[in-house]
Amino acid sequence: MADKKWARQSRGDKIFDSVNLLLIILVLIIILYPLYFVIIASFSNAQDVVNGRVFIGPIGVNFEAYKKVFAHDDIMMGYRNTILYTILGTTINLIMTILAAYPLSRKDLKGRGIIMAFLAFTMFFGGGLIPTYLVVKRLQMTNTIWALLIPSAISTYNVVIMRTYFSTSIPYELQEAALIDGCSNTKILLKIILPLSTPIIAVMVLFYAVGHWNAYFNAIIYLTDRDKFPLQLIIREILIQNQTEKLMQSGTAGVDIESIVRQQMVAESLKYAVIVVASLPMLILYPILQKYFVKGIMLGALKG
Amino acid sequence: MKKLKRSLALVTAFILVFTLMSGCSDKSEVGGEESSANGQNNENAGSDKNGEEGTADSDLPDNFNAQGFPIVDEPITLKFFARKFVSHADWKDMLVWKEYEKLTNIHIEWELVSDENITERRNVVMASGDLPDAFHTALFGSSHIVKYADEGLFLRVDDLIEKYAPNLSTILQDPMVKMGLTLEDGGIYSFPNLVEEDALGLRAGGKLWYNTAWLKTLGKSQPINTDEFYQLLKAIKEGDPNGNGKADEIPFAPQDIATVVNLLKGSWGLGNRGSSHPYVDVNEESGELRFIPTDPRYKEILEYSNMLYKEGLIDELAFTPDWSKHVAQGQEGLYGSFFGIGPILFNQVGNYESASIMEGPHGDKMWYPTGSTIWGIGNFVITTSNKYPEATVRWIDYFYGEDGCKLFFMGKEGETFEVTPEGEYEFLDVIKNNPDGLNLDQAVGQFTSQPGGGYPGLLTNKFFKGAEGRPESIEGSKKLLPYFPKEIWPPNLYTVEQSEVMSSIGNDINTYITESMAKFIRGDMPFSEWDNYVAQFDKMGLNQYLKVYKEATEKLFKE
Amino acid sequence: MQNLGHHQKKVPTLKSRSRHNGIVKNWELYLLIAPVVIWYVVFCYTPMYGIQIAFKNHMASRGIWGSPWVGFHHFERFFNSYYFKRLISNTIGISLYSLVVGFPIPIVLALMVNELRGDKFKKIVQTVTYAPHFLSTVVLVGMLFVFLDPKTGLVNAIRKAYGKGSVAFMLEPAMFKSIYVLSGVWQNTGWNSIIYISSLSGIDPQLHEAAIVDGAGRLQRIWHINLPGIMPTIIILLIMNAGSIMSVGFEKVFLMQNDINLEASDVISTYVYRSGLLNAEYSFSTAVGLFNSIINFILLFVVNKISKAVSETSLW
Repeated sequence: MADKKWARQSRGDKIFDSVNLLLIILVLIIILYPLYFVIIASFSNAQDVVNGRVFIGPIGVNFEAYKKVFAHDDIMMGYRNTILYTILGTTINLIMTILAAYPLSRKDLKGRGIIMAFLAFTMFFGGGLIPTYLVVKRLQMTNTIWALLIPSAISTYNVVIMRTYFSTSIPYELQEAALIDGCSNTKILLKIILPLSTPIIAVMVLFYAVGHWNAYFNAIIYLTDRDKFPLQLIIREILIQNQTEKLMQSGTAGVDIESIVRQQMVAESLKYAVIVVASLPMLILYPILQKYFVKGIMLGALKG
Repeated sequence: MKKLKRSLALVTAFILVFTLMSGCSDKSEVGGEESSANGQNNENAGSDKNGEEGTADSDLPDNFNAQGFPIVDEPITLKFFARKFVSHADWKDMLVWKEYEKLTNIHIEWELVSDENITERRNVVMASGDLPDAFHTALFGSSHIVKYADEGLFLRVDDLIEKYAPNLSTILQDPMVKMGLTLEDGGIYSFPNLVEEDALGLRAGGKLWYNTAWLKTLGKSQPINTDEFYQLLKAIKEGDPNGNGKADEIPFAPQDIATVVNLLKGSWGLGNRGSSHPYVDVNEESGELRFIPTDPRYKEILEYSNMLYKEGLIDELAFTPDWSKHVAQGQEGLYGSFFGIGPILFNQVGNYESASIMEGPHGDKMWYPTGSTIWGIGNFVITTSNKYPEATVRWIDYFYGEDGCKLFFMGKEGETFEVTPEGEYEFLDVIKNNPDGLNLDQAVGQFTSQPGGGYPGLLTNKFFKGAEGRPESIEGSKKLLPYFPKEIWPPNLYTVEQSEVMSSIGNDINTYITESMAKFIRGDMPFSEWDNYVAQFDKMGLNQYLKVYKEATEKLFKE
Repeated sequence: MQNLGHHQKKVPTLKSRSRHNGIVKNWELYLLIAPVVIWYVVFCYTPMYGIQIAFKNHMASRGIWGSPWVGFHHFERFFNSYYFKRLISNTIGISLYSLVVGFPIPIVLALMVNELRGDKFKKIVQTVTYAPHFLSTVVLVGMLFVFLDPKTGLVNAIRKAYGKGSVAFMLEPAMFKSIYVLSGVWQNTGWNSIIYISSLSGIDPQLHEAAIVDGAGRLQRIWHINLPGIMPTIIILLIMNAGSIMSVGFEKVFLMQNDINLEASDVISTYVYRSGLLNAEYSFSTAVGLFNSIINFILLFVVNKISKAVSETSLW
């Protein structure tokens, strides 16, 4: 929209645009360099990377790391699983979050404060891992895909964000008018609210999808069948870091330093390649969703 | 009408809620009861917590052979929880477990969890009542053993060991080993990871190594005391022994800063009960426990180390430990000396020689970093849900004997190893120079779960092929053998109450010790602060700490 | 609750009905939210009985209900720790620093990106800025070590070029919080700006058109239209951030910690890890977690109340 106005803009605006552009480019460079580093490190010689010789360009260019990553059959399996979990999970998330956020955004909903408090309280206080595990077990969801999707079906944080969007970006008057016209609440949700909410829905899809993509904790707790493992769990096996360092320092379990160190060196050479491979799909997701960040339908057109 | 429907919906919801809530509470109790109920339902009273009743011979289960193989006539299946190291294949595909199943007639269903995930998964398994029959290589610490034994989740096995575990029983004749494994109630609840007494390379695994070529270039011989050590490091720093015109040599590379102190303790006469007791040893004159970090000799060690650091003789990396970097630097041959299991780690075999003992300023010559023969206590545990405890005990005992060690470490003759004419056991080429490009760990990890450690079993010179079993390591340890501490204590086993003191006060004290050590050595804390530093320990509850330590080591004094 | 900016006119509301009719009229809304409430009850409230373990000595074999009661024992253990003050101070210090530095920057970035012309360039900028979010903590901290290395790191190489000495950044206690926060800003600014960007697209373009007609410049329009337009989002996010003051995550701090910087880097989560979790002392870690939650909750409550009084936006 601003494009059409370009010709008519004042000098002040043009200065603003130039400065803005300059600053943005600066930000881009600052953010880009380390990302660039990750990429060149992923096909450099690991020893050179660790010893700090990789700066401008890759050293000892080789695709060993990528070869090893793809040779790992489990990576492909993890990929498949994670894609499934992400699509299914995000759909569930979206439905539940909308069902929560819309009623809460209506200021004429009696008891809305209580319900909101009921939800918000859970952001702070929870029973903890074991009782939750027992609930999931009771519902017979352990070692199934549902254990990964249902207990995490709603993020209160996201509900709040979506609710805020609904109440600020969609005028109540519009809904009131529809109600007077005899439109049911459900119809309002479907015909008015959702079409006007493409930006926030896009954001929610992004947030939830990324959440599922990066998730591993519930998988650790609830899954025993290896063929259900998500990508991040496989990656955690390759990139051994935390646990083994501690083991070597604590020395209570008779661990074998040599083999652990050797595997750490292998992990070191793989870690950048693993990150690139694991993150690529999510990086592609954003540009796809980005076009929805613009409001879909003009408000005015609906007023009719 | 709408109102009625709505109220009905609400009421149903409430009922649902209450059922679930009480359901949940019942479940956790039932979960707990179930695990002990299983124990009681077992005809074999060996699974009772106290293990006192019913171990009379008349209770010998059917389908069980007290000696010989197979262990059971009709095949049985046991569920084991185990840690899968990154270089392992799936355990059900491993040659070791397949061969052993043929031998014993016992099929193992493995639940495998990797290192990164094992703590959380273990906690959930223990707390939810879904216990497997046993935990194998599950990285339990000794405090876990005590805790879960106390709660009745781990089976007491000392009687069963006496009856059905000849290999382990032989080893338990060593009182130090027995004491290291026995809990306060006199029972044994787990199976350890042991090192045989003669496996010197393993018992003094971490050693000091010198760069042979540089010693020659600088015209120096191995230091025999701490003064000469300092002189040598200085010469390396200033003399450019690698001749490239740059002062890029790293005179001494410990992998972390505590290692510096551990190297030097013996030269000041501290740490005389071995490496399982880094902060408390025995004052030989008074016979009382001595707290090392406040001892004046410890201060001297720190001052000496500080001097080394100030002159740039210690690798800076020691303060931000990073194994990958440590190895990467080593691989470039930058170390004048290092402390570790051997140059094999940096592919520098032949370039480094093991060090002789260094005498300290007071004439002490002792090698503190010597381990007890117990490397781990909880490497295999049988749970009280196990319906075949006798068979399981027999199952694990095999690995403490020669045949079991051979199978577990080396595999099958002709397939993974061969016996040389000199009688040595060597891996075949398919392992050592794997055609698919697997490194040693990965190749070995295809046939056995040995890589990564943490397993129940016995490490021996004969069958252990790691760095500590190599000739240069054994030779190095032989040099140090005369200086091993006279008495090596096994790691402490604390009761549940003692454990709590150790993880609260003990943890604070440990943090303070390591933090201050690093700061004194680096110079961030000046030695003028020494008295203040000593005073802090009392504020933290040092009295209680030492009291617990005394209680836990009481039995060792009697020996 | 709505705050649509200065240019909206108020529309007269409907006459209020009786409460009774209000509930009935909106029965569909209650139906819509019912599955949500059930989910919360099942997955959040039914497990809540587990909180009591903070007051007990958890024994796996007896379950949570059957474990023996110890009252405030675990809390006392935490408060009596020699390091208690330091842990609290580091945890809160890191959180506040993160908030003060890390909260405004995504807002500014969103406003700036929103002004960019050229959709393709906009997309590129957004994708690049949000990419760092996907680096795992292990890789991020690994890079920090590489860039900040005293001998081989990029930063010290630049310092040397300017004739300055080399600094061991990762060891200096004084630098820890800055490195932690700034690397976090680098990693998450783009991601955090997404919500503001999407909010900005919810602003009525007619407002801008009207303002241009009135002769308003870009900065003025940003200040008077965009900023107020996303103000409710800003306030809500600020409130929720206030409610996580005590929650400094474990992994990143743990990877960056060492003996020398411990006085600045030891936080509650790493302490509990060493002192409780390693030994499976479930009760202790639950007690500390409960303590954190209570502080967080009180803070959120207070900030929410202030926000309610000062603006029209609040959490509830």
